[in-house]
Amino acid sequence: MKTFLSVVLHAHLPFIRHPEHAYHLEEMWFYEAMHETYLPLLQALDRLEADGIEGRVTLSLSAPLIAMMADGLLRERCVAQLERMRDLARADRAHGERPERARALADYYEARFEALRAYYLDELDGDVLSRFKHHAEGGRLELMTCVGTHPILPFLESDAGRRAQIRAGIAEFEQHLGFRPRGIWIAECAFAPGIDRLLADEGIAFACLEDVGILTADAAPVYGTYSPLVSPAGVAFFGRDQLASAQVWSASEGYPGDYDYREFYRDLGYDLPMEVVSPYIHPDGIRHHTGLKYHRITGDVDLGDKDFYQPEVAARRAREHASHFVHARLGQGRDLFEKLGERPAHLTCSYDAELFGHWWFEGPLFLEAVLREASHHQELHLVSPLDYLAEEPVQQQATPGISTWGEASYFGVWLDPSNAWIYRHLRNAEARVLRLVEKAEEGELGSVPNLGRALRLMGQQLLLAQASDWAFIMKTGTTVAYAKERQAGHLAYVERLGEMIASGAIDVELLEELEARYPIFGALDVAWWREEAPSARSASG
Amino acid sequence: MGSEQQPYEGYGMSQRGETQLVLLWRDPEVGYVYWELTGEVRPREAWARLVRLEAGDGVEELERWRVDEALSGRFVRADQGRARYRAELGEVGSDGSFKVRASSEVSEAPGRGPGDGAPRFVRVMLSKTQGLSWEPTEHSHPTLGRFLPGVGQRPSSTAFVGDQKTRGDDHRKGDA
Repeated sequence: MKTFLSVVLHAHLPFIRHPEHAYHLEEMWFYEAMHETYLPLLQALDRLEADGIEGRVTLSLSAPLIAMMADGLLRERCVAQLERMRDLARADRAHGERPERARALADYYEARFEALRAYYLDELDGDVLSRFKHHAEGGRLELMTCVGTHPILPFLESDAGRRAQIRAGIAEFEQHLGFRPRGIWIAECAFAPGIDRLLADEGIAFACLEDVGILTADAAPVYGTYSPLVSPAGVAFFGRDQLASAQVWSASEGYPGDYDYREFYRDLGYDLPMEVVSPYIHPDGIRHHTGLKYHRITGDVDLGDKDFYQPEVAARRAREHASHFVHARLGQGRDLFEKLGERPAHLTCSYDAELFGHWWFEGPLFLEAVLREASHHQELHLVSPLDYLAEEPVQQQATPGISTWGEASYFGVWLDPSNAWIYRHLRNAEARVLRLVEKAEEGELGSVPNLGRALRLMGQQLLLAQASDWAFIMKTGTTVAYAKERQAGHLAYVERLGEMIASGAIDVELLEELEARYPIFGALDVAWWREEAPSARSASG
Repeated sequence: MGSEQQPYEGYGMSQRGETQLVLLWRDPEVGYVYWELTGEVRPREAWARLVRLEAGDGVEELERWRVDEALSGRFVRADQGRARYRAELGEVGSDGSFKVRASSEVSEAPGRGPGDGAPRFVRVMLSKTQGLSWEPTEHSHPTLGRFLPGVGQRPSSTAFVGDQKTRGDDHRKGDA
């Protein structure tokens, strides 16, 4: 009896690159993701390759993350950050009286950051995308793209706007990875009928949704979320298995809450005296997370009462949890086989990639151990959704329902009093782009120098404004000022470029400034926003 | 969430310059309506309402509110998932009738459960460049219950309802 398991990781960050500042706090999100998630994940894949372990993990790479990984400035800054953290470990060891356990942890982090620096700089030559591609070619990864800048697709103004976002994601992926992806991560799994047609038009074969998307399809899903639904447009939609997923992502019930694992919220950036830490944090003396965390979760105790972290104990727990996870999936598959009418279950376990490493430090070790453990069980097949479709080509046909993978499985995170007011502006901006692209196509804008350039930048700025990250931040109340500044800034550029285009007075200096500042969507084509034959059904939510 | 009107906030973009009403869905029970008005559709006494479209040409008015131009959006309540709704802008006659001056596109609210479509199966074929294609297949698949969205903790949302009658006409795995 077979059980199929697809582990799907979604890798995304908003496009954050601030050449105007030597040190920018929000850029830290990228560096943390690199040294906590993506580099350790690649190292795990390298080890699996070296040991000949079979099994495939699926990874979506969003366009902003791809562009950031490929950017020379951010590469340099990422290396500098790795060195800064290595040096912080040294400085901590050297200062004053520290318990032996703290000194051992300083040694651990110094070695860790030095190894990551050497791996990134010497072995990868700063090019993580090529190593991801290598593992895709070697069969250990199925790489997917993501919808453009990660917008809530059903909230966009038009199918043309949705198509532009889909094409932007595919084009950025193809430009940097060198092949066309066959799967796509729909940002926030935000689906509405009609989006499937737009995806199929671009040759997309599969996508993932929240379980509710499958369970509220236009026909009852006879296999629940244990098989995909193939929409009439020709896209297979895989619903997240809640049981398997919650075992990993749930901070309360899942593995990451184990007391031996590293505590996320306690960090040397806040613990050390300012005279020690100041050279390694923001030059204005703003404390922030450094990635040097010396404590374990310990239990339900205050941050100040946490015990010291023991990496080797945590690594052992990760392997134990991986074994538990694999056996739980085997048991789940056996139980489902009969309920599904003697049909193998397919379990879709989808997660934010940053859960593994950034939020759950031991996550990459866990994933590696899952693949190693699964290789001992012939019943369990770690596959990509495409592998599964090749094995089980007969599937139910239905169109999934409106849903997201956010809280309560609908749109409450992104349509809330804290952020609902942004959509008029985003849709008005999209309408502006659509109108000007149409005018340009019909020759109504004349032959103004740099017109195409300005239109492309207007499209790029619209895409950047539409990222769901800004609404998410407004809802969660974290870095709201930054989110508003970014989104309003992109919209203001759409407005300004639109005025320049309409008047024929194009400011070339502005174009040069934007091109230098936003090295993303180099293959952007304004024809993406051209209205085409309307889809059979509207995709608006 | 109760009905709540929101103030207009400037945000880098100018208004569209044409009247518009837009209805977006937060979930099966709550939608969000926003509006922008221009001169020709700016009645002195402007009202808006949310209606559910019924069979034929009928509409059921669910909510009506006075449009204050200082405000620009409002969360509204739906009474049926999967039903079709529309937001309308207009004037109220002395007899209480609603004269529509502008309306949103018709929009279907999300559902809480599956639709009533019949199960059908396809055989998919993978292409390197064209995504998926499929062809119909005769296929009968018995299951011992139904998978439905549940309530409570997330893992129960794929609740297997085992006390349902066996689905399918027989217990063979038929894949013709």
